[in-house]
Amino acid sequence: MQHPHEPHIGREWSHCTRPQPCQTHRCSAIIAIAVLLSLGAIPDLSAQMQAAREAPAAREALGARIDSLAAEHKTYIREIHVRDSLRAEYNARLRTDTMLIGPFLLVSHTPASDDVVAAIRDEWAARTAMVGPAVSRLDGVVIGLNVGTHVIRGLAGTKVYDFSVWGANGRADYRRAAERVITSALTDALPEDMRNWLDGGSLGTRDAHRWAYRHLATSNLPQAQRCFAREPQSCAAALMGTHASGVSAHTRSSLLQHALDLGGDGSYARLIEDASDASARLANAAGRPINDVVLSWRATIQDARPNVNASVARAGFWTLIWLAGLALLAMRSTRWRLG
Amino acid sequence: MTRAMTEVLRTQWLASRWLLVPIVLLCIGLPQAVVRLATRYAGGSLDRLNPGMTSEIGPPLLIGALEGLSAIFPFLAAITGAAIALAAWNWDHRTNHVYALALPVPRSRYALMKLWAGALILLVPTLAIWIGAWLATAGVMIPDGLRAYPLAFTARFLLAALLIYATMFALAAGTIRTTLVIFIGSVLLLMVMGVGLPLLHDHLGVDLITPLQTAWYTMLGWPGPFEVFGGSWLLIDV
Repeated sequence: MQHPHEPHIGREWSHCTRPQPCQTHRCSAIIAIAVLLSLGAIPDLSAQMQAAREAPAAREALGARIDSLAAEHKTYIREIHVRDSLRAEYNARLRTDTMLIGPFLLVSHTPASDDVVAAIRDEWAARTAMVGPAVSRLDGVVIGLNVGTHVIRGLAGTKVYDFSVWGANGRADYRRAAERVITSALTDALPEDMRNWLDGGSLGTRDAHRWAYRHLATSNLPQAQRCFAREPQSCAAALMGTHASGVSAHTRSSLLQHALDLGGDGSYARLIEDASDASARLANAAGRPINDVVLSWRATIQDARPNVNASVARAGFWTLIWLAGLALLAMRSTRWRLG
Repeated sequence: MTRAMTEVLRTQWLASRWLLVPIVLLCIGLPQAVVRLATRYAGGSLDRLNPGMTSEIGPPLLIGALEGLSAIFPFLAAITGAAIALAAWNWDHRTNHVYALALPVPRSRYALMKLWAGALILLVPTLAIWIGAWLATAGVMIPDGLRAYPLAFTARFLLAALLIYATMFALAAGTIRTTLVIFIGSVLLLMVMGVGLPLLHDHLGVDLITPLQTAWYTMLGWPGPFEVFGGSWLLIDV
């Protein structure tokens, strides 16, 4: 049995040497906790006592507030109904039409005009043979027809190619827009190394060779200048290098388009087949060595030199027509007024 | 050329000859100034008369500098056309058209003769700008790959000046009332289109572009009246 004066080794309060002081500490702690709890409870108790004194008035205030909240709730529900009905009406009016043109799904909020459909159909038809069996890479491509106030931005995570028309030239603008969306979709379907080589460019459009001529003719780079000055090796070196070689994206787009044109049917499919680098892909697509491709491309862009005089002549024709109209206006629209 | 036409031409020449002096000087001097400034900006001297001073400059820098500086030429063409048009009618307005009423010709023919006379007078600044363009491009060595287009530049200037001349002539031919009618008519047209296009879209499902776009593209795009202003005004180009 342990002696009462022995220390309580291995137990709580082990620093106590005698039972009396330990009991005193325990009691002090209990009292302190009780005091603290009672101090915390005092405000609640006083609040309850206050509320009990003012119970009738508080009840009335709370009742009034509940009534007002109920009224607000009714208003809110009514507004929700109005909003839902408006949205339903909006959706009912906002038809979403879809149409399949080749591999493309044309989506629009209003029925697509015949001219738009014809433009997309024609532009796709001009490239169908070139794309060949690679058409499967375009399955599910969505073209959003955005020519009104209701704009199609995206459809459940699907990339939408924006068909927007800003000009006032009708069918010509539709053709350009159709060409833009189709070449964009074809560019996005290219292997990554080819897209990197294009350096932001895309499959060539109608103006690709003309832009390439302008960029090459005005380039500051020695390789590009030598290429322009009929040195084929420089052309290949400048064009097949990385974007650091400085040849513009327009120029690369033009070369790619030329290789596809040379290759004819199925050239796009051959372009995306496995190959070591961009030059091998272009050679595969064209079906001939890359040097031949570059040489013939150079001749092509020489023919595509922008004709400054022709643009002035065209502007002149329309200017004369407008002049005739203005002359008629000057002759007939006014009368002499004296005084 | 009839005697009446000769008389109208002579009258119009008298009315606009002093106005033409600064315009002709600008037309001769500006092309040369622009080309010289562009070559200097591009970091070289292309002076054909001083081969020792010739140094290689990059075509892109030259084209870039010319693109920036050539924006002055459409304004020059517009000022030229407007000045000659206003000078054509200024004298008539000031004298309350007494001289024109005294002539034995109908008003429409008189207006047409004045229009022709002004157009002929426009040939003077056009000749001046051709001389200026020729001097500007003949005096420099064009880098490889680029060409000088003094004739196309002059033709563009003439067309632009003629267009502004005819527009201002048609407006100035009448009274303030006519000018107001044309102006208010244009504004109303734009407003009607602003309301009408959304209505067309909502009720008939027809989508058209906004009035501002319509006005912009109609005026500046092909085959709009001011398309000639939107083309290349470069004296030296690819």
